[in-house]
Amino acid sequence: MKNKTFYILIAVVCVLGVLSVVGLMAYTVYLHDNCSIISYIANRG
Amino acid sequence: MSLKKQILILVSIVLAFALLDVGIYEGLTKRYFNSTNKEMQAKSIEVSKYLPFENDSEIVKFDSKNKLTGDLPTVDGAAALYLVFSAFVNAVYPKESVEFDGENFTDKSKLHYTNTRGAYKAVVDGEADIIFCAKPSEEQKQYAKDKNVELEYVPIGREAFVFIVNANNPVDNLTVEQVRGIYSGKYKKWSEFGGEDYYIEPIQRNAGSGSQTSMIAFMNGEEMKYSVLGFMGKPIGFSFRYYVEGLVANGKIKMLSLNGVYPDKENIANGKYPVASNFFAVYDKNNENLNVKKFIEWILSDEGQDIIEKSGYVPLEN
Repeated sequence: MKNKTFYILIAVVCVLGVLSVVGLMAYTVYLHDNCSIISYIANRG
Repeated sequence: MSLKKQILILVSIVLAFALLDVGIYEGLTKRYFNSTNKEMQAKSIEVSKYLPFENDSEIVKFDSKNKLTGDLPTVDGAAALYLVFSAFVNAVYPKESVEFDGENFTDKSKLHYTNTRGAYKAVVDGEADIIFCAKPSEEQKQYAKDKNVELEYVPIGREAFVFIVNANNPVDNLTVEQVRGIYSGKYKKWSEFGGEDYYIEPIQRNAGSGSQTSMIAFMNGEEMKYSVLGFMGKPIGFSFRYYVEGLVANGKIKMLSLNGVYPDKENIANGKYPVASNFFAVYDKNNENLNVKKFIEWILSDEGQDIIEKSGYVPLEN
């Protein structure tokens, strides 16, 4: 694999990885804002 | 760079992100999943499930002969008491006095539900004539004072303030002092009470909610602190008994006994449970609507108290 192609692939994988982390964190914040005290305790078994 | 090395680097990066995502999901995301439906999440209660004058409503149905007529008081209140004041309205208000558009009560409706914080604001602002709540917070008292409104608090029933933990937590009982110690930061681990070697995460609610105000009163002047390490451990929270047991009924949590007394109806009624308290009908003392006092007198009558008992709460006469 050419170095240029390799670096493009690394960039793409990193961007997708960061997007997945940001998306998951955003989803977590959304859940946090809507989570009741009872659900939270129930989830922490 | 060899192809093998390039592939190894790419796979490593993918795995690193995948591990990070799994870590976030397992450590954070999963703990915030809400097991209740959207209406419950948005309003703390399924308003549509407990509407008055609906055949499939789950409120206590009683058709009183003592109907109110004329200028009907607008009522509002706390989530934990919604099914009770909805049943009151069902018993003595005419059907056309309540309008629900599928999601909310309309402006013309005499029944509203805005929970404790909204209800205290509404009664002070004159948007509600009677609200059904626990005692107000200091901020809510101050808001009334600032607006020169003197509120009257009429006890109409009793309810227990309860502490809840996950059903798998082996601890079943704490003393009042131990709970205060947990929330003030004196006790940090469940193992101090015979439980697992996990940190205790004392959960609080938003300021002005009925249960948060009750918790501040329960602390008897001790300051509540958040536990930094508690996030890694297992939580304890608080609420009102019927909200936990009847309205939410989540089998994955349990109520704790306090000083060895379990918060059931019998122990609230006989006074053995140490933190049972009254809930109130609250109105502006200067409210000139004659139906306000008439309505409250009916609530204190056998009919009204019977609705409280059949709704799952403890009436005053007990």
